[in-house]
Parts: sequence; structure tokens; C-alpha cells
Amino acid sequence: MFFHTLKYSLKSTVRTKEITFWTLLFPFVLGTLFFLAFGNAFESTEVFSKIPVAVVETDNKNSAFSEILKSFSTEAEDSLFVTTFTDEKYAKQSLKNNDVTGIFFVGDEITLTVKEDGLYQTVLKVFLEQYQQTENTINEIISVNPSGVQSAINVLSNDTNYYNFVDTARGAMDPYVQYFYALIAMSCLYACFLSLDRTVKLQADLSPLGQRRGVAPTRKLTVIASEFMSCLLIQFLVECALLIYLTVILKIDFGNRIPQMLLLMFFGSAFGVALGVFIGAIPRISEGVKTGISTSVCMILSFCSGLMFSGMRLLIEHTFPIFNRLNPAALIVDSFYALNVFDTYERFATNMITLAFMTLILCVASVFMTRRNKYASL
Amino acid sequence: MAAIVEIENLVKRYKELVALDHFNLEINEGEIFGLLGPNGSGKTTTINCLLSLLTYDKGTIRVFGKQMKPDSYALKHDIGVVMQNVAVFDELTVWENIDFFCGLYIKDKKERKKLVNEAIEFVGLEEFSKMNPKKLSGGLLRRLNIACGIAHKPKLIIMDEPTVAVDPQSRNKILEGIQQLNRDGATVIYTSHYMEEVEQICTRIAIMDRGKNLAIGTKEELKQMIKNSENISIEIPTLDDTHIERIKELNHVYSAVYQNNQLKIGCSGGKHNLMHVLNYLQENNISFGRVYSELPTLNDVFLEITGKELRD
Ligand SMILES: Nc1ncnc2c1ncn2[C@@H]1O[C@H](COP(=O)(O)OP(=O)(O)OP(=O)(O)O)[C@@H](O)[C@H]1O
Ligand SMILES: [Mg+2]
Repeated sequence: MFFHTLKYSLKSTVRTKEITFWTLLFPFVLGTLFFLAFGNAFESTEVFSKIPVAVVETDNKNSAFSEILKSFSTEAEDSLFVTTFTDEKYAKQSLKNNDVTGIFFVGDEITLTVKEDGLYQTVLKVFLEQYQQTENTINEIISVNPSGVQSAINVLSNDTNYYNFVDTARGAMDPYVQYFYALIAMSCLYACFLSLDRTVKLQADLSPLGQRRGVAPTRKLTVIASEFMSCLLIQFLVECALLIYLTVILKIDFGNRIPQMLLLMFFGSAFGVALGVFIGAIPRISEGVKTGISTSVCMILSFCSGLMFSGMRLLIEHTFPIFNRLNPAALIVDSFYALNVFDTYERFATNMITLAFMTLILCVASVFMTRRNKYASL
Repeated sequence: MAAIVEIENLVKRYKELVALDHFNLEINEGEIFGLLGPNGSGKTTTINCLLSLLTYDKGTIRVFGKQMKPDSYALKHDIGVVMQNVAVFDELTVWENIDFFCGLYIKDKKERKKLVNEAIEFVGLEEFSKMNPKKLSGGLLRRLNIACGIAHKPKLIIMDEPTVAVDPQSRNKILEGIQQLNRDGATVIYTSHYMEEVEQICTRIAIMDRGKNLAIGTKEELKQMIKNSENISIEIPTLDDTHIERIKELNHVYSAVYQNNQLKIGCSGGKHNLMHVLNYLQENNISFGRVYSELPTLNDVFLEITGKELRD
């Protein structure tokens, strides 16, 4: 029964024109539009740009940090920084004018001042943190052997996989890529239109088809499971196609952690499908209203994850951070970001678990609501 | 004869509206049972309660001798349903739709293929088997709806106004098909507005109105229940009220109405009623045109029992 329903659900879903437009075509069209709009921006940032940073030395006691910084600011192409040693006033002016990304105040303590949050700023922060963690060792090396900067660099990079961080970070430097992350997140949520339609078609109080299927000798749970599976399969294939289109055709750099991204898109699709089943299962609401609810939910969540304005997620992070932890679209965007920036999987895994948990809640609630198959009114 | 369906004291309310009011019905194996009632009398509600789609306030429903519940899968397996509203997937072809619904009952693919083809032949949709329902006309769509309901050869077939919009020729074919299914062993419950259909195929008929079962029996039994036995209508250009009153006083005549140059006379029992009326007209030098005499139809039964015409 599961496979019989699955087979026909797949067949009729892929043939539903309105739905294929929203789930399949729309993300492709939007992706292409993004690409056209940001096309020039991509080319200019394709070469990794070094991070401009100002250094203000309040006294000369900590020459080690300055030395290390200088060694990361060579002419070489893969060097990280363009460093300007200057005074406080000029440095602050430069920061204000966006001429530099941050200011290191080097004295007894080393502090970092940045104007906003972002990837470049994170790089500076991580750089400083790593330095501070290994400060004693580095100081020792340099005091024993003033030309030991290279050894110090080795200490920095060995301990922390610092270079890995930097390498992957380069892929995600581009702020425009965030729009494409948000696009993929949106397209995952759009899976709810697939599953909403399918759920309405198996509820006796919502459609003649639901009535007809309600009198057949089939378990509702089995039917829901196969409808869920068919939507998930279709949506996941759509995501794969979208990923291929964005990375291969439009050549947008998503980094190289493909399997992890596939996993992410699978979880994202599952959430979208579960959302549609859930909305479809809410009793006593007509199909039109349900479509309206789904559209609004998708739009709001996508907007908050930075689909129309990439700073949105950051804004929410400052004002209402819990929403970013719970907004599935933001979680998907953040997971892409985490995959590209961090070497470890902590943040990615946290996001995945949250997403899976929310999917599970929606599924359980839906099963609970649709289990009833006798109605007071049809 | 075993009872296939037993409905006792069924009460169904939609908020204040009482849709079924202590409704009783018993349907035996092998019958083609007609459920006749005007719009809103509760036919569809009865069927939906019977199928356990609707909750009800009171009463018991048993099918094949067992209580019917939403998870009575064994019972549902033996029931075929043709709903009043067409229920098919627009994106699947005719063949696929029938296969989908048949597959909810029959697992074996080979057997199913045979059944689906038989069903297509049954409703005469051979030419359209690869078409999408959206491209079918209203009548063809109805025929597909029927095929989806009966493809798995159920023991009990429930049809809620299945032939609306089907042309007379196809309708006859379908009616014959239903009788064939019945001969092959299926019990049929059939609701319809077309009395001719019900007269033609149903072995027993229940007349319902306002959620109540008003009369039940074979069509002959129903016709005997009413006093009307003959309807006479005569074209007369002019007629005085006094004559109408005197015609009413004739033996066996219980009603006489003169309207639009037509005199309509209802008779109960007796023989040669038409002769008596025509004699009266001749004796009084009243000229008349065409004359009709009809035996009572189910419509007359209906009219007398419910006080309204079956057709709107
Ligand atoms: N979902 C509902 N909510 C409220 N009232 C309803 C509902 N469904 C039916 N009714 C009412 O219950 C009564 C019986 O309706 P039902 O559909 O059973 O009639 P029917 O005999 O099938 O009519 P028809 O010949 O038009 O199909 C009607 O008065 C109808 O208005
Ligand atoms: Mg009805």
C-alpha cells in the first residue's frame, strides 16, 4: 500500500503544474535574477581580498604580536592582511571610512575594535584569540630568537588549523553568496506547497478525493507516510538540481563540502514537507486559507533569513537572537555559512539537530491531527 | 436472505439542523436498493454515516452483520463507493486513476490490470484511457467516477447519484451494467433523482424526506400504498366551475383540477374511470381535445407521501 500510494503520489505531484512552478521553477528563476543583479560584484570579489587592518601600538612592550601581524601581511598573494601602523586618531578615522576592517590596539593587552559583524571581522577575532591562547609560547620563541617569527607562525597554525579556517573562509567571504544560501532555504520551505496539496487531498473534510480515500481500506498513517516520502523525494531532487545549477552553471562558490550540503538540504526539505503536512492537517480551515498561511510563513521566514536584504539575519541576531536559532530558513543559511567558515561541525550539528527536532514535532502533531478520520461535518 | 446493511434509529444533527431523524433501513443481500428523496432529504448524509465518514448522534449501523467503524478495514474492503462529487486525480490519466483506486483494494498487479480494463470497458471509456480527467466532458467524468468505485468488484456497491449528466444512451449501458454486477452477486444501494432509473433497476425502494424513511417496498407495493391509481388529463377549451364540482362527485374520482385548458383528474381504484368521465362530458355537450390516461408513477407516490414533486 505504501509503495502503491507512493508511486501515484509521485506521478501526480510532478504533473501538478502550479506546484512545479513554485517549487521547481521559481527558485531557479530567482537564482538567475540574483546572479544577473550581482554579476559584477562576483567578478570583482573573485580574487580573495586581503583584510585591511590598522595597528595602534600604545607602547612597544608587545612587539611579538606586531611581528606576527607583519608576517601575515606580506606581498604574497595568500597573505591575510594589509597592515597599517598608525596612531589612534587616524586609525579610528579609517575605520569610520571603511578603509580598514578593524583596529588592533597593541599594548599590555591587545584589543580589537571593529565597526560591525561580518566574516572579515570574525577572521580578525579568531586571529587574535588564537594568538592570545598561544601567547606565552610565541613570546618565548621570539625573545629567545628574534628571527623566530616563522616558528611562531607554525605554532599558531599547528595548534589551531588556522590556515584551514582561512582557506574555507575565503569561499564564503562573498556577502552575495548569502543571498543564494537564503534562496536555497526558501526553496526548502516551498516544499510545504507540495505537501499541503497532498494533505488536503487525503482529508475527507477538505476534498472529495479525501472522502473517497477515506472509505478505502487503508491506514491513514501509511498513506500520510508515503505522501510525505514522495514530497520529500521530489523536493530533495529539486534541491540537488538547484545546487548543481548554482554551482556548476552560475559558478557560485559554495565551498567543497558537498555531502554535508546534501545532508543539509535533505533536512531542510524534510522540514518544508513537514510544515505543509502540518498546515494541511489543521482542522476546520479551508484550503484557500491554508495556502495563504503557507505563503505568509514562507515569506516571513525567508525574509528574516536574509532573502531580500542580507543584513536582516544580523539585525535579528542583535535584537532577537532566539528567533535566528528557531527560524528554519535562518538555520539553513547559518548551516551553509558554518560549513564554509568553520572547520568543526559544532554549529552545523546544532543547527541540524534543531531542524530535525522541529520537523519531528510537526510530524507528530500532524499525525495526531489527521488520525481522526470521522468528521462531524463534511 | 441475510441483511447486508442495518441502520437503526440513526440521528444525525448538523448543529441545530436534524439531517437524519430516527432513520431506519435494512438492506438484504442481492438487492438493488433505491434511496429516493428530494434535495436535502438526507440521502448523502445517510451514506456518509453508513461509511463511517460522519459522526452521528444516535443509532447503530451494521454492515455485513458487523458494526461499522472508521478502521473496519475488512468491511471497507468489500464495499465500493461512487460518491456524489467526482473524486479523481486531475494529473493522472483515466487508466491510472482507476488503477490507483483499485490498488487500494487489490494488491496483485496482474489481477488488478485485468480488473481495471474490465472497469474501463464497463463504463465505455476505452478510447479515453490515456486522457486526463480535465479533458473529459462532465458525463465522461461521471463514468470515470463510477469505474473508480466498482473496479475491485465489491460485494456491496454504494452509488450516490452516479448518473447525473450522463447521456441516456450511456446511462442505459451503465444501468444494465449495474444489473449485471448485481447478477454477479453484488448488492447495490442506489440514490437518484431519476425515477425512471429507480423504477427500471431497483428491486426495493425507500422514500425519504427530512431525514425520515417515509415508505419502503417494491415499486408495486409503493404504488398500492397510495390512493391514486389512474391519472386522467383532458384538453378542454372552456369549463364551468359547477362541472368541475360535479366531476369530483363521480365514483372513484378524488381530485379534479382545471388549469391552462387542462382538466386533471385523479382516480383511486375502480375500473373504466376514463369512460365515466368522457360520458359525463358528452352528456353535457362539453367539447374536448386530446385525452391521456396514465397509471401512477413513483412521482405520484412521492407527491402523495412527501407533498412535493421529486423533480425541482
Ligand atoms: N456539512 C453540512 N453542514 C450543515 N448542514 C449540512 C451539511 N451537509 C448537509 N447538510 C444539510 O443536511 C441535509 C441533508 O443533506 P444531504 O446532503 O444528505 O441531502 P441529499 O439527500 O443528499 O441531497 P441531494 O439530493 O441534493 O444530494 C440538508 O438539509 C443539508 O442542507
Ligand atoms: Mg446528496
